[in-house]
Amino acid sequence: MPAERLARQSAPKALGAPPEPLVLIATDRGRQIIRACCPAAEAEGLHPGLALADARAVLPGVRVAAHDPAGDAACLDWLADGATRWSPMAAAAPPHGLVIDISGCAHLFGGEASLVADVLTRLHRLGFTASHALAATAAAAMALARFGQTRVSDLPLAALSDQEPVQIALRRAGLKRVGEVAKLPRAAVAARFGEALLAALDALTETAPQPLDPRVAVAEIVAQQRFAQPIATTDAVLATLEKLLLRCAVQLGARGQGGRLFCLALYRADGHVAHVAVETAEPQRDSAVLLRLFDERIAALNDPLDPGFGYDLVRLAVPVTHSLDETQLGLEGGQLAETQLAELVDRLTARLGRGRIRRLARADTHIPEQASFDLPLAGSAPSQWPTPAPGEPPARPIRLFDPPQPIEVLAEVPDGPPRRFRWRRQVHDVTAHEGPERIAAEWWRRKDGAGLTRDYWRVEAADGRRFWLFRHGLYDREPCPPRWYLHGLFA
Amino acid sequence: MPSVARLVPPVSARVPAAAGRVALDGGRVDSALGGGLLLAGCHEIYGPGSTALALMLALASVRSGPILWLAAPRDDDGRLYGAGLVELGGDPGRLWLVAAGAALPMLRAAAEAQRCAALACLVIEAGSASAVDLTVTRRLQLAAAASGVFTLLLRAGPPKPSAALTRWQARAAPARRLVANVPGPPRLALTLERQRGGPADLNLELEWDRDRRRFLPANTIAQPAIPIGAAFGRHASPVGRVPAVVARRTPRPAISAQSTWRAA
Repeated sequence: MPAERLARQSAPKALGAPPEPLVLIATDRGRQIIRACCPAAEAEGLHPGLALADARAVLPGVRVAAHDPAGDAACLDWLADGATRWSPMAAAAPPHGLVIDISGCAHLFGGEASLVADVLTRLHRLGFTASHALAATAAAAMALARFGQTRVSDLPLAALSDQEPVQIALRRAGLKRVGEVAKLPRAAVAARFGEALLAALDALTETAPQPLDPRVAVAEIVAQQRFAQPIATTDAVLATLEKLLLRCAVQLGARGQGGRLFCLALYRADGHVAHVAVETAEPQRDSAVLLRLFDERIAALNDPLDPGFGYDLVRLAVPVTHSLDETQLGLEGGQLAETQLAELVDRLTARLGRGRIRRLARADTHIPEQASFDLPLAGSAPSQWPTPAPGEPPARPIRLFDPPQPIEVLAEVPDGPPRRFRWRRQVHDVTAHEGPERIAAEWWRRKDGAGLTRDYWRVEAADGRRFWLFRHGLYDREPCPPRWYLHGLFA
Repeated sequence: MPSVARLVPPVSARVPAAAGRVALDGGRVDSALGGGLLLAGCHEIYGPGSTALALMLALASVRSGPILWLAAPRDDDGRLYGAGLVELGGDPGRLWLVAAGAALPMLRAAAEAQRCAALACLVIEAGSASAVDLTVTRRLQLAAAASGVFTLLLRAGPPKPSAALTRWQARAAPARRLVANVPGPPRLALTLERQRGGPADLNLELEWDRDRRRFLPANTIAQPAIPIGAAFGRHASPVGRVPAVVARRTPRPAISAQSTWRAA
């Protein structure tokens, strides 16, 4: 497979002409060893594990490229993504395998044989040669496909274990096939060759089924539409999406549920899959609202959807659902306003992303810049804010600088009010001030147990602007010479 | 996920205003505006006092519901402070901040928000973005008039042609003094520069009454008598908030942090 992937990347159009033999090499302890070869090279007698020097002796004109296991793994994941078109339970089996659980799906494709034919055709179109096998467990199918057998009992010992010492031990006991090992008593096998071998044997002989780890979680509510002629325009995609939303709404309605997460998967004809997901704050099944949200989400995607040669399968899945009763919308106020606000939040989230809509939250601390901060709207509850005393002017600014801006201040030492200060190259004369409000550092939170005290002043300048200044430190008691800062602007 | 019900606070008892309008001074300017500032419209505010005026107008409008604030992409003037909003008489839980990042996404979000009639106010901090031109303001005004969402557009720089209902210049004005020369409640000096279909070029000075959440025209406020021996409060207490002239040594003015001189 790695050689084919490379060939596909480098010459995607030259699928017709037989390529030159290609081998992929890696350096191992100073020697260059072949890790993978293409089918043409294998036909000439090269195999993985051969040194490059020996390979060149056999086939002087062989092409060489570096082995890229990470790229191979990524390509395998991409193929497994595309394989979800046949069944949601599809997983990659490294290094070169794909496992698809087709129980219950085969009838949709006209039987197992035609499903297998479809898989092989598509893989061949992408440039990969594949060998396949069907079995009742994943491990048995992988082993049968690898070794090209049709029955589990004919599999060689390498199917049970990759390790040399175990294979040597089995051969010394006179066993050559998996069928012979299966006939021995289980306790004897476990005692002589270990529990791991027994587990592998069980996996192959179908007594202990192994669960598959699917790439995408299987959703309860799914609706899909297949096209004989792939669709490529946005309008067609949206029309299909609307139909699928209606079908999902019917299914959700029958269960009395609404969906919170809707995943749209668009399968391209050349194997690529595009995913678009929309989530809502409240359970929803209204197709008009959801279509709107999908519209926003598709419009806000970073890379626009590229249909390529067209989508031939569109699937809508609803993985997260909650119960939703039929509610009577109020004629005015209350319920209707809530729904409108929830929908606005959903639309803005779909357009801008989660975490862009924030609310102000409160922390119980004296330090002003930590006392108020913003949290995302979705996951937070509103905080309780204390009500100010009536008849008093505002004690806190409406805008806060974080970090505070250093300024130059003319003031009496040690703790006189500021008389004049300079900020952003403009001098302000203080005509009225209120203060000092002393806020000490939270010494219990600091390692050194000390911190500079702040004296806050609420000042008004000659032009009427009101500022919140503070002196960071005390003149006599704290070590560094104090500095002045502007922390906020009042109304 | 908290229920959305908590985001919609109950309508508390407020000073009644003309239906669908915000009362400013109850006199000359209000009659020039036709009874007050129209809620179902888009208004532009220029000047350094735009944030303050926007918050006060949002609180003074007799509307329940969240205030959607589309924040400017740059943080030049600091962030909105929850405790400060409480001191203006508002509930910071009603304020929803949206950071759209750039001007165009912000305007699209504004178009979305204007379709939701349950909002108390929509504030768009456009700054000096060049994307906000005549067409955009006309669209904002039409949408505001159709859905009734109170839209405030905060702008900066030289005023540009726009289709908003009114254009204001807002800056802070000197507040009246309380005991011991302490600045009192916030005051704004407003100028109505332009009004579509009405008189303009009117000046106004308003004081914000945070307890009743309304504007008071500055020239009608009588100076309060200084209470003698009054109850506990910031005005009466001689220590704490009111600055005490405590001279430790002969007071000498010092420029902090930059000068090398300091009291020994």
